[in-house]
Amino acid sequence: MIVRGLAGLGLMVCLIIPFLFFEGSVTDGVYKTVLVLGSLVWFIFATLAMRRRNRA
Amino acid sequence: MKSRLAALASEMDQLQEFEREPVSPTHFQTARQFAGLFAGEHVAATEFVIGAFFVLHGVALKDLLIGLLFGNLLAVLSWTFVCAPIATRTRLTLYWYLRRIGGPAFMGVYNVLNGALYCVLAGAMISVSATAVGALAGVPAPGLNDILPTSIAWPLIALCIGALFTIMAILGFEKFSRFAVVCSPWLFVIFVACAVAVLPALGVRSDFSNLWEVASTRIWNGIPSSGQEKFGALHVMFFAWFANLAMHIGLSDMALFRFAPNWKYGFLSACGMYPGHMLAWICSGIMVAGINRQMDPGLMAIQAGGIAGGAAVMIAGWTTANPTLYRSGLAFQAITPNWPRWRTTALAGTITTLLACMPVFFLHLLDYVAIYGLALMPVGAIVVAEHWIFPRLRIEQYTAERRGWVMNWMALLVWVGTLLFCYWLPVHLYFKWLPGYLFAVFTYTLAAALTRRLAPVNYSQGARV
Repeated sequence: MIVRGLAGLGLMVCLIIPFLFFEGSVTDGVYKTVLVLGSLVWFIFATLAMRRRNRA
Repeated sequence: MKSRLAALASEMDQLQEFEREPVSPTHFQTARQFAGLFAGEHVAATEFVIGAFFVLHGVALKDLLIGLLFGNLLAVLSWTFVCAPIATRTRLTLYWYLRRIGGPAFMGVYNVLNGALYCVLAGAMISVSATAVGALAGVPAPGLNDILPTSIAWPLIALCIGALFTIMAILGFEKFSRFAVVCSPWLFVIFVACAVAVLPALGVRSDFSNLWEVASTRIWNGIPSSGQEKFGALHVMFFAWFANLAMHIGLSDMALFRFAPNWKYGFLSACGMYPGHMLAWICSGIMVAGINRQMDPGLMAIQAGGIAGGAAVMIAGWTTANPTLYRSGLAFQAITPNWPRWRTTALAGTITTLLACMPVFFLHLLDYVAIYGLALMPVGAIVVAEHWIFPRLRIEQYTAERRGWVMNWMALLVWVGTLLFCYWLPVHLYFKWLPGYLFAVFTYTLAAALTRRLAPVNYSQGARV
């Protein structure tokens, strides 16, 4: 449950950060860095969640 | 000749053996699984190119929205009323159902043609991925009218990526196809993120008040790029409809829908069409406007999303090319002398990689998608005629199976005849398939009515198989 939640959080960050950039709240560099980090969080935790589900 | 065809058919049957039995009710999939499957399958690397090409072809904003809305609706209806009913009645893959109708050799021709067409499609995907690496390495993407590579660096990048994708396809399809499931929601989010991030550069205000004005004057302004044909709402609508023609009208998605409890599950294809073939195409249109209408998917994604954008182009290319290479390998396995699957996948990968070095395939992706659907469409028409029309006209069904034919020559003739008919039809490539489909249904039914005997009444009334 926690793993899936963290994966969802990573995806949510990827979705929210471009809107903050669009509003001018963050710079281009911050937007692109956060997008990469959010993507990494998604891939790590979504893969873990999938492996757990397959084992079950 | 006949014994060779029979031997080939036998080899092909062994490859598909596990799919021979109709699906039992215990193996039916839920609506949620179907929705997820469609949502995942239709956000691919092609989306980076197709949406961008609509901008280059001078589609106006209203034409785009009307075309996508109705075109995708027609695609959903095709899955629901053409593909899903046959799949849920037969519970078979197209392979086994077509074998009953056309005979094993006919199925062989279909498989090999499909495999070859898959290779070109996978080649285009590798080219799209190469643009991402090229953008990072400072190698410019080929120009819109280029057929051959314009530098040494471009084919080298395509060769490296093609080799990498081929090795991964050989190593294990199952493992990577599971990973592809993880990629799809992320890919969709990256499409949206990149499009939103480009909007300020195009002049959209932070309250979105001038979004429509910017979209209709700076993105879909109705002016085609130099050398590109002007497209209207009808072009967009037909493209959205036939983008997956081989899957719905061509019936290859019988493989999916045989697991559906009923035909209404066809409506769930909307979960793939509207996010993938509407929203993602709109997003890539916005992205290409952000780089002054250059057809360079890698550059536009990197500019809009940085490393994550570039990674999205690479991953989208790979997740599309990987199953495509695997399927091509499977198709070629049947026509090679007992080659193991890794070797046929390597062969498919080599052909695909060489094709990927030619930028013409990804730069003419829209035309290629049209030709791909058109080439396989007559097969769907033949199946529809045999399944729905023959019982109503009391024409004997499955004659090839009943009489043990290796090849239903009449079906092959109709297939080739339909393609010739489409070739000579004086309409735009995008509009050829629909009259061609009707032509195929009519000629196959007429030919069968003239050559086959009448079915017994009790048989014709209970056409369920």
